[in-house]
Amino acid sequence: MAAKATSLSIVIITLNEEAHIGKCLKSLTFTKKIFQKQEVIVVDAQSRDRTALIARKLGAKVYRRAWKGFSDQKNWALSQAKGEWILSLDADEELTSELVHEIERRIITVPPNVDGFWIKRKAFFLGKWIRHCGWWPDAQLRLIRRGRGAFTNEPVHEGLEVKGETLALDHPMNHYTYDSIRQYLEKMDLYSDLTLLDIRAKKVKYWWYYLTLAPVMTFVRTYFSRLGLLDGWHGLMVSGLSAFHDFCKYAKLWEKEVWRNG
Amino acid sequence: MAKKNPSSLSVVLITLNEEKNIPRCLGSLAPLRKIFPNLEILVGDSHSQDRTASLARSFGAKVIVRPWEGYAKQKNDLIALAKGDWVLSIDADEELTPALVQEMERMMRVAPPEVEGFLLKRKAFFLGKWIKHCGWWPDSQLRLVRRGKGSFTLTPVHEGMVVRGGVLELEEPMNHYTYDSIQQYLKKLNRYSDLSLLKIKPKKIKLWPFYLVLSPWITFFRMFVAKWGFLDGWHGFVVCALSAYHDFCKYAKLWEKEVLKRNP
Repeated sequence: MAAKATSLSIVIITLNEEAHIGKCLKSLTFTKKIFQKQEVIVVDAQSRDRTALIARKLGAKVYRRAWKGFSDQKNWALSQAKGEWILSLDADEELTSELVHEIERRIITVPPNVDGFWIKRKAFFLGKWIRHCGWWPDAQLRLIRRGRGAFTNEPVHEGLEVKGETLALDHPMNHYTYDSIRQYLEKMDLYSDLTLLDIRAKKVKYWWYYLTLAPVMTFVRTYFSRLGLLDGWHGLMVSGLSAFHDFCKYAKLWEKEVWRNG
Repeated sequence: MAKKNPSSLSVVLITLNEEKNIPRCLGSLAPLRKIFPNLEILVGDSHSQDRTASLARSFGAKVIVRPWEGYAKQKNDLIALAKGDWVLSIDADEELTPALVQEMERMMRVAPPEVEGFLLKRKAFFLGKWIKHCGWWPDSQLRLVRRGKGSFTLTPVHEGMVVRGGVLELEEPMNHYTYDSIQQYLKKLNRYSDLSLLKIKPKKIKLWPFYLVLSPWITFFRMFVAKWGFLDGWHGFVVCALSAYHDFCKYAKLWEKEVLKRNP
């Protein structure tokens, strides 16, 4: 059947992502046949590295905007998009050519009541795809019709929501989560601050279980119930670090609620 | 009351972005000035980007700015510049008490020549609470030495001073404000675990799976049970658990470096 041309905007928000942004942008190889108009929008929260420079060089429209939280930044990026379809990506993600083809194929035949597509993510940790530990398939609603969806207001792991029906794509994208243990620990510090905001907003009360057994349970769940042991040493590291992550989050809650008394 | 001491004293400290700690630390040296009229305070600052240097100067310190070349090297070079008969080495997150100053003065006056240094106990505070167990007390350190007799050994973290002659331990402790927040602990953990990798012996490297799996539990047990950390309450528990996770991270980084051969 004849291709019905449409338009696509890809939106990415960044902050100091020079290590990843090039790989991400180079993976966006959509054809003109399907997406007659294409634009790549990078909303950069005033990176101090070469993120903006690299993005411009690779043809993206770069906007600079002060950081006001994930969903706020993402929704602002969405509001700049002009395409009929919008694909929201992170700088540490990468499309595969199979996924690009699948998107093009599915967009042509999509029924009008469908407003979005879920995309699975292969998460790489220190170079290895983590197939268990609860890290797979980690599907995310990322490809939506413009004007039909927005990001919800959770401090971390915010997601898109759309009004209409959604479908799932078969091919996954690549997600380069952590390049090093050091980077994991840096992000852990940041994320545990953000989740802390979240759990405090939900009026979660601190109790001793959080500091003692909760991290152990997280380890057991990740390594045994979710079969992290099948990921080899990588699985053990992910499970151990997840337990530590949990501990830190609750230690910060304890610090705020109990020790500093709010 | 404050009695003049015939000998002279130099205080040395090295800094990097310590504006939060400098006033407390240098402020606590004020009683020393009454005893040692020509007290010398030498601050070796590694290009702090905050107000460390100007704050230090406002406390009468002589600030020597120089790039970072490792803790021990930095300290030793500073000690070499000191002119006092005695040299006291402190860190920016430490604080002297008036009682300790009195005791130092007395002991320096009466110390026989064969005594070349004094050990100082440290009260370690974690999130505002003095941790009396967990192996964190008394944490004595050789810090007050006769000039020319002591130097720092060159190991990557937790370097200590050594002297050839006799040493005595002072009764009065100083205060050591180790961590003000969990966040600060995490930042230091990330840095220290990088540094401690350099110290791990080759035969330990081969046994990394063993250490990775067991040493966090051993660390926790040693600190919380054997060293009575449970008596420090929840602060003690958090200290011991963080130390266990610290161990895990250290060996995880060892695995990353030695097995995966990744150089982050």
